Amino acid sequence: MGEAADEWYYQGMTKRAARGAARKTVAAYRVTPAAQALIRRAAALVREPPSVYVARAAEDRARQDVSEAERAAARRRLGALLDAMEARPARLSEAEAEALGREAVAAARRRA
Amino acid sequence: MKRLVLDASAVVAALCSPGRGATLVVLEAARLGLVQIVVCDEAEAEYRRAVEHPRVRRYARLADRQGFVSALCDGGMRVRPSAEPLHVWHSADAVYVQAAIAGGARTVLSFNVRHFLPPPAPNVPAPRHPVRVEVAGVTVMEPRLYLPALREG
Repeated sequence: MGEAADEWYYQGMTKRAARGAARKTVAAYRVTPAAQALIRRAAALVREPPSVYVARAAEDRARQDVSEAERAAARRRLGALLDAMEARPARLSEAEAEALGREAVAAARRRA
Repeated sequence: MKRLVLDASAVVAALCSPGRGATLVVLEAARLGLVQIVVCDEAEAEYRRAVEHPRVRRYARLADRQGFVSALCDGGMRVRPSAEPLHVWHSADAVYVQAAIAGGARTVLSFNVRHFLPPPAPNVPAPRHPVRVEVAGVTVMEPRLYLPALREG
């Protein structure tokens, strides 16, 4: 742990009991002592109490996992819709579809 | 992963395309996770309005057009468009480039490439049908021109 970070981490924690309490907070997570040390070191670097750091990291990761899962589900839905399109024959050529794209945008903007 | 933005004309063309269209190929790539579509609220609103055009309703190959837009947008990367001011011919199209900038996408696919040209100077005729335009470091091109880049991986 760097000296500046160390100083911040222990500021106001001159009593041994207070240090112990801070360590216990991280110890509540079922990780190895090495991982706990890593968490304490990272928390000191970003100047956050270890418990706050761990909670924030867990929340960020949970949000990321949920959004990834939602994106994957949306991609599956898109795939199913693309497959469904195969069943319905097109009535326009490629060039006509492009022209309709331009026309629909112009009309949407006139309406907006 | 490559990121790109689709404008509303490309989304409508995909819905009505006979099946071998470049936009559909790009959407298949998005489905497989090979490219990521970047979207913003403004773009989604325009997609939703455009797919309700009466002729799109008639010719779309899907009845659930809004579901198609939802799946497209939910599967993409949602950003807030960059605040960078852009001078393009049709100011309503600037939001696609701003979304591309915000999402780190280098490409916007559109069938209205001409809209992204700078506003024409008086007495200077604008190119009639450009297929590729550079705006603030983002390339706006017709979807078929993107296919070689897709093949490169």
